[in-house]
Amino acid sequence: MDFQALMMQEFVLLDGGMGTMLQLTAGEIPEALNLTDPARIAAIHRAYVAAGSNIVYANTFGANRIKLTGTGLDATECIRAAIAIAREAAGGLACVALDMGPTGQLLQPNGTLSFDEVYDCYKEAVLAGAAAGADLIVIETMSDLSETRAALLAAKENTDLPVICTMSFTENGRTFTGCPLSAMAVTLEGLGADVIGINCSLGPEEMMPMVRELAQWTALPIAIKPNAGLPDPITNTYHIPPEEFARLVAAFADCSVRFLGGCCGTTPEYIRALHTALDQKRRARLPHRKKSAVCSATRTVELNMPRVIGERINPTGKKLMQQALHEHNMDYLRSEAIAQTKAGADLLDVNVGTPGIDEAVLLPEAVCAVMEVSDLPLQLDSSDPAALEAALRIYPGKAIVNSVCGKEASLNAILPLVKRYGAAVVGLTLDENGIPNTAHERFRIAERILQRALHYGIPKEDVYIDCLTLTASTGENGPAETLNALRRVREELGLQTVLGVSNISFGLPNRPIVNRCFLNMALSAGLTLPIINPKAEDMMDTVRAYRMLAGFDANCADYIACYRDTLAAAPVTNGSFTLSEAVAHGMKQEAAKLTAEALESTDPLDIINLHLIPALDHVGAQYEAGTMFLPQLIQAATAAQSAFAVLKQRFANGESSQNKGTVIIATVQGDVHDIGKNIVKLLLENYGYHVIDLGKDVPPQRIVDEARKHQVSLVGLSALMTTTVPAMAETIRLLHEQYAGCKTVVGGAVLTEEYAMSIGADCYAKDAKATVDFARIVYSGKESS
Amino acid sequence: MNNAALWREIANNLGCKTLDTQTKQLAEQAVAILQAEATPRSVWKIVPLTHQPDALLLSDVPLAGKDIQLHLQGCEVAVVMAATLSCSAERSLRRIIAEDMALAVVADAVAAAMVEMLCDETEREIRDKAPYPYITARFSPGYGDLPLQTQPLLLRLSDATRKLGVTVTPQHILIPQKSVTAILGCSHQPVQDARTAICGINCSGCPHLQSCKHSQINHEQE
Repeated sequence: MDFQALMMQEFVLLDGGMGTMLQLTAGEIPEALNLTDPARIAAIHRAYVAAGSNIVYANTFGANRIKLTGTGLDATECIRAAIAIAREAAGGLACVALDMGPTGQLLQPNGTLSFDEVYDCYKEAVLAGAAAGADLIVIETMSDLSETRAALLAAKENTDLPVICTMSFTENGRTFTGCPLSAMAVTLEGLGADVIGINCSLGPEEMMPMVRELAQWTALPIAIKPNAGLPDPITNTYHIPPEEFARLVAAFADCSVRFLGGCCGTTPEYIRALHTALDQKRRARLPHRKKSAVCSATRTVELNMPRVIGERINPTGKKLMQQALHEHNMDYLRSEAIAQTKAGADLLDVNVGTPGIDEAVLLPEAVCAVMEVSDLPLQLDSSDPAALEAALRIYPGKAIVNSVCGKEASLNAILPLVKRYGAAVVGLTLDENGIPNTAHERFRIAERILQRALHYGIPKEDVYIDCLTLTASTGENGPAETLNALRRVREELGLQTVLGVSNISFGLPNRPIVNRCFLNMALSAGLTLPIINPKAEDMMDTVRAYRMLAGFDANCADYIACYRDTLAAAPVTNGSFTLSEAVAHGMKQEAAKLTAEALESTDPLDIINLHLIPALDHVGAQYEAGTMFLPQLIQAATAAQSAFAVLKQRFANGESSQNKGTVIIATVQGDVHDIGKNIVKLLLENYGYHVIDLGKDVPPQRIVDEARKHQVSLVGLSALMTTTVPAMAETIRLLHEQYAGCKTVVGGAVLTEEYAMSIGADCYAKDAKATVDFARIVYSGKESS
Repeated sequence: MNNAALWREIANNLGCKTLDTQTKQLAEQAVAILQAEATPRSVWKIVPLTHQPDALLLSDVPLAGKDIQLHLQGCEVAVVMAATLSCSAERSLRRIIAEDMALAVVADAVAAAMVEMLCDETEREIRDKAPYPYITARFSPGYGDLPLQTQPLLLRLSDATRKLGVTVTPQHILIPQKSVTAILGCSHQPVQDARTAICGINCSGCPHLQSCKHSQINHEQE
């Protein structure tokens, strides 16, 4: 029996639970049974085939290197045995699937695994499965879209086998990691899954509304494997009996579901009953209209109305951001991402192109940093195909590639990437001859880009055209040609349209007026994806009002929700504080405002040394005396931070900054707690130290390498768990070995002074303040700017 | 959710007896964010318990440490539970850390308090539904000498990875971080419960005196 033949059937019957049939004790590992008790596994497969299953899932759910760590079992060996058992048991009457479940570990940023580690793990499994003669690959019970992508890419890049991919959803329509049905559909369809669907977690009744929604998002065949209802914690049994299960599951035929089976709690009896129930059924054929949509791992944005692409993550003309990128410091990007998300952007453009930077390294890093703090889908903005591929590979969702243009070289380099990773793409209407002057010529290039995209198998819903904004001051016909081309692309080709709006006013006085008016005109002409600064309120106002007036905002709900409170007065602050008091009382806005005022008459270094530092010292002393607690200390520190931010701007404008020394800090390998480390960072920065924060879960060698590279005199290490303190000891050992003379300060909940000394640390810091005190000692005598 | 208990727990976690106005405002902000964005879930299951002369088996697997033996003395079966605020809460906390450290410190304490409340709620459900009149307090890996290495077993027994999405790293850290696993003992006879001792009955005999955050407070009140 082969899979293509199954695809011609009205329904394909999957199998039921494997774990339910095995009834394992706590110490037993199911995959080990492939080697130790093959007859037990074979009997289960045979029972399912006899019940009518067209596909049996081999006993390989947990047969991956990561999940089997510490069991002494080899994934390849387990898979080879499992496929052989299933093939023999199926006897040619059913297809055999290599079954791949989750690794049991979460990927970054939720967990610690990297995309490549997970990909390699699944690659090993698919190679073993294909070699052993699996007819297809099943990826199931997935929760993390990143992990699912890794498994699917491993399957598609290393075998020609068809892939059924199902994830587990909770009653709110999201997986445990927050992935919505729509994001699963647009991402997996883009990556070339053959069948997608839902398994486990819920019973058939809870699954029904989800399948209805899923059918709205995909044209692929749908597979379902519900549980036999809900488990009883006392008896450990599921509540729906076979006949009722069969009746409920057969009803999915009306949602055009083609692949049906059962998960936890289901047995051959359930499958036999389902087989009977489907006997008289026909599958509904529902019309499907493909949507234009992109997504992150946790949010889908349908392009069914004008959507704002935030343009602020771009170093062009931003000195502070350029400097931050050179140092791999992602704080600046994170705060831009948060600010734009809060301001109402629908998507974020991420561009790290600045001289002297390897975009192929930095773009994926930037993408990860942005995804840590925002759930908006991203537009990857680079002219370097290697950078785009590196970012596309790890991006957990469906991204937009910005951009391809009408040049042959560009089309040939970019479009295959877009197809391979299931992304959408922005096509710029320029080619070897530059940017055409007329709307007609730009339209022709748009047509050509679309044709080529279709040729590569990229659907038209994923091709967005940028008709290019030229500066208005360079010719009075420019704006009209852009808008004419845009209108034709929208009306005649039916494509999404992109436009960087603010370029229109370059070189003109009072740019906001021009930008706003042009945005208005462009929206009316059919612009669907304005690239703007979402923090420019008048621009967002225009978009929101346009959406409301153009009928995209039912009952004006979004508009009203956004502007309802505009009449409320801004909070009034009592202006009678000094800067020191504002800091000590943790008043952020006040501290920033007073600093800006002080700068008019006071030297920045005096502000630091005469106001900010004494205020922090005062707060620190109160904290040490126990009259002030951690929350107040941190509030004061963040108030000081807002004051320093104002000063930093001044320093970036050319005035000499104060740097009392560079300190590297990190949470050690294996540990994922970073709040303590971040408190230390905040305080060190307050006191004028330049902090290189390597983040959490940092390998010892990387810490040593960075310390040497930056020639620092002090490294701070944090570890919160007894199980991760050894990594701290190892880091210190390596530092002594390879970078002798560098001091170390350590901290964390489980550490003691005694233990810190025993692993060779120079200082045990009981809190963040103690770290600052030690930094002062280490860098005393070096304090000069 | 029991509000007074939540606020007591938040203040506790922040190391303050009471919250000053500004911290209270931050905490209210954090509570609002986390109540909107976290998706608290828990799961529990009854599993067999076997007492042997020198070992205690939880569903056939020996548990390490003396304290858990003491805790489950006389119990016929055990309940394994897991609770989590889910990845959505982790995402909120990550965003807040990048946004505002003052809020982040408070939000971390709020999230920890919310998991504790969720555990209390789950425990109440267990007491209500499990068919045993006597049930011990919760005992988690990391308490006393029950090692963190017990986490994978408890996840497997409660099926928490499948049912809640809770995972454990090779260093035995639960992810999502704001997650808890615990064991409770069930019996038809009154139980001697090492953990209840913490709550002020007999601190000196308690194996957790050193690590107990409540004991300090109790002493201060004395």
